[in-house]
Amino acid sequence: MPARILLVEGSDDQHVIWALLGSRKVSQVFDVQPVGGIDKLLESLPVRLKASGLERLAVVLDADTNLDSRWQSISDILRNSGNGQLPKAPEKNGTLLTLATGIQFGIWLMPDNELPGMLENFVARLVPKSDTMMAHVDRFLSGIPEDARKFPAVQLPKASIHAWLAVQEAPGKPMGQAITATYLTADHDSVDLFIQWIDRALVK
Amino acid sequence: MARMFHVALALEFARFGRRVEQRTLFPTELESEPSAGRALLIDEVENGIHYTVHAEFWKFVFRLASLHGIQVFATSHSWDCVQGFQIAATEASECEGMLIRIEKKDTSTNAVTFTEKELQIVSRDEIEVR
Repeated sequence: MPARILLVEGSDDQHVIWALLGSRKVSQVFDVQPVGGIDKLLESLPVRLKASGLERLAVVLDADTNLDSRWQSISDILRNSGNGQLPKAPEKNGTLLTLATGIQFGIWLMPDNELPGMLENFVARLVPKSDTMMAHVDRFLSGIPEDARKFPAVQLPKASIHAWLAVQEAPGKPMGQAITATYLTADHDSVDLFIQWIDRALVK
Repeated sequence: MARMFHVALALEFARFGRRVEQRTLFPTELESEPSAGRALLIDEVENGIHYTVHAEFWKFVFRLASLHGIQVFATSHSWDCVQGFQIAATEASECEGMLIRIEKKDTSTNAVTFTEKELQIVSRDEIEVR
């Protein structure tokens, strides 16, 4: 059992994080494990905290539409499983704490521990400043009448980044590969903060 | 009662694994004392059990333990055994199953417990509990 684990919701998160770690040359002394969705991740958290040989566990979760309620649900799970109390709100630079069991535990809420949103909001910030395609994507998406749109409005960031990826030099690369191919830039303040949190939570 | 439990379990071992004749089956004190309300200890329970039949084996142990009122403590390092135990424990409504990991931490020895519900997650997500 790896002693240091980063839990993420799905394989998109895993590949984006792998690409960011690669671009920043972070020494990967931990596993990045996709769990198969937010519900499974939250359900299994108390059990994963009892895994044998575990020293450090960090989780990356989407804040989704309500950051406070997402935070509260993690807080309840930790308290009810005897793992102690979370701070009232997430720390801007990513939360870190030592649990009653001595395990170091980290939480990052996508996109930035402050705003509602998801992985795709974080990735959208990595579109280079020189980009000209996002304006076309915005026009395309806003041109779709609301009653014809097949997905709920809350999923617009997802549609937007994937539409943008669809019109790059090699159309349709997944987000992680687009970072490696430098369509998306890892040279961004958001990435700095995220990588610093990873470093504190799992590396140093 | 204990004698019956012992013989039935021995027969079941014979069904589940080919190496059964090589193992020392059970503590002999069971044969001489009435067993209801007593505990049975089985060390390295996976020995002699084929990896494909752990769940069936454990279902049998749960049935027998319930029938004779015996609490069973078994030790194992086997993942197949953990998974088989989990399946049987979930199914056996008449008995409660629990996994306990004994671990050394600094100078103390701790017991980390997993309920049946937690074992379902352990098994589903392949979380290392050994």
